[in-house]
Amino acid sequence: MKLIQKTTLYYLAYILIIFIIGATLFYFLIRMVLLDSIDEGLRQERDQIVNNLMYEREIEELIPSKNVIIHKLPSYSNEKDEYKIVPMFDQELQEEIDYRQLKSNFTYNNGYYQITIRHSLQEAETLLKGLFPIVIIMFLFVLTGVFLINQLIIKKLWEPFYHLLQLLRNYDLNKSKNIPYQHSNIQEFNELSLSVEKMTSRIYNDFLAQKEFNENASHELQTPLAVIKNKLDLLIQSANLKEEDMEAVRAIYASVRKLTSLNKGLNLLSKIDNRQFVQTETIIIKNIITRLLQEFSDQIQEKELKVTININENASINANAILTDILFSNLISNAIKHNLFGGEINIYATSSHFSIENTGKALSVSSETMFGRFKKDSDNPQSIGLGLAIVKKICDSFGYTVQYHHENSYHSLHITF
Amino acid sequence: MKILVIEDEKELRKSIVSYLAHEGYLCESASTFDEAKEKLAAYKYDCLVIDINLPGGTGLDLIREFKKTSSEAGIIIISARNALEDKLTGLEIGADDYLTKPFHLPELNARIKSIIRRRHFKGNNEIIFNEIKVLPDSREVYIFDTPVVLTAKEYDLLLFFLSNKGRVVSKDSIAEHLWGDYIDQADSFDFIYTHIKNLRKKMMQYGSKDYISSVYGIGYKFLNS
Repeated sequence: MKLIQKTTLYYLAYILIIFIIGATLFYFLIRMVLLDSIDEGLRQERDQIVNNLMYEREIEELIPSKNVIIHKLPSYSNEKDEYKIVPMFDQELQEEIDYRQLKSNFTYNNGYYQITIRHSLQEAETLLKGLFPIVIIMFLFVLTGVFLINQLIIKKLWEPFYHLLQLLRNYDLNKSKNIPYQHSNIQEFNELSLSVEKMTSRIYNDFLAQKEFNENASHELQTPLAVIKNKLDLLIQSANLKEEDMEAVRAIYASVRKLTSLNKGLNLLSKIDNRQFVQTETIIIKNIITRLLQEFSDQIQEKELKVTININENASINANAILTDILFSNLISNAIKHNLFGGEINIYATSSHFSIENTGKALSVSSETMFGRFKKDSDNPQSIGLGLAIVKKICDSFGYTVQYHHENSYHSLHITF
Repeated sequence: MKILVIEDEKELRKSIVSYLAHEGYLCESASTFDEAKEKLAAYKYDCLVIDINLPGGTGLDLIREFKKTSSEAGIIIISARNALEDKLTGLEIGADDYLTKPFHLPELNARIKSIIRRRHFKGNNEIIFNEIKVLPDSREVYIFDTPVVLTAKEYDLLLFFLSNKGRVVSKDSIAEHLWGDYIDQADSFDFIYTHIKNLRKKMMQYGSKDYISSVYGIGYKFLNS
């Protein structure tokens, strides 16, 4: 829910409660005052009638009127005056009308009498009913006012906040260092902006430090690796090496190679994390796959693999060229490595998806974990276990999904662009 | 031919100098930015091997300064940073080649030879070894003046051997030279043997001697036996 909707809703609820309570209290107060004044009128009328009776000869001769009724009581009653509201049917209006009625006892000529006086409440009720629309109109006025003021507040007062939100949404470490402090005339937003500036500066510095660390780590590792490699290159020139020495040298070569590609892989993963491959271009899938198959042709021939490609001529993706090359070469290399001798590789692609399948033994690694780092098949000690982690990372960075299936001794990897 | 190796890591510098000295180059070295600057000002070199990260400055600045004096020397950058920007900057400011550490010495040697050939024998660039003649500009090979048709891999292999003749080159360095990054994840290098076998067969077919010998299964040697 938006801030404006939420605040308006709270205001609305508050105003509604206040109006309901206020209107009810107001209604009863007005009603009380009205009845009081009517009762006062009834009392005066009664006193006047009773006084006037002194000049009449016989009470019984009086003609009872609609609103004043006098009748004789059989004995003395000390009942107090009684005020109450009684509904009565009005012949003229053909409807029930409420009356305020006073019943009062008095003594006249040693006789006991009761007088009943009524007064129509119609006017009072009209007055009370008239209050209702006034309250509603006031409520609507207040509501509109609250809404407009809120709108104004959101627009004017919260403007720096929304501006900051926009900046945060578009914040990209590769494009800007931090989100600089922007002064507004509201203290909280100034604090927020200051915090955001501090936070983004810290993030940027961490990003730089991490980048620097990765570069340094890879530099520091690569130099000793270069030393080992070069010393081996010199060592094998020696004529004095025995066969078992050569065996040791061969093993060292293999380990250095593994270390080198491990270092390269980890470095690549962090580079992708740091979004250091941002340039994109249109890549024709068929071209890149054909080129890569050419690069891998020796390894394919060595295993006598049968490769079938079924790629839409115009199938293309818009992505970073270096990463795309690494992505597909990892997939093809995997399909070769985990294949059987004389097996198959099938590649299908359109502009919306790519899949590669290869024959091969069932894996010892579960399909859920196989995209993790250093998850490798125990049958293949040569593998460093980063290939699919890199594939996954590249797909994530491009926003592609990658899935693995194993069916009828075919391993297949499916990428949806 | 005079080469200056500018590299701060002592062992690496020693290895490079040792390998290149065996090739008959006059090899000097510098370990810091200032030392390199001094040597470049005082002497003339045919080729420079420059590390990017140096104590006292970067190799890129060294190249920029060196290029101002408009020297003919070829420049090859060796760097531990496999950053594309560095590579592009290096080539842009006048380096001839860029090699990422860790590299094999036969690879560095082959690249230096290629640079020197391009710079010194412009238009008349040929490699002659006994009955074998290679024209690197047109990628043509002749044996006893008869053209030999080689595949791209076989040609690269022959040139690599000729650049490192008399030295043992490991299978690793051959694989890296021929397949580059794509070889990283290969299980074995057995397929190198296929190319070597084919190259040998073709050359002997044209009357060339068999110069390639296997060294214990670790690598090969191209030698005037």
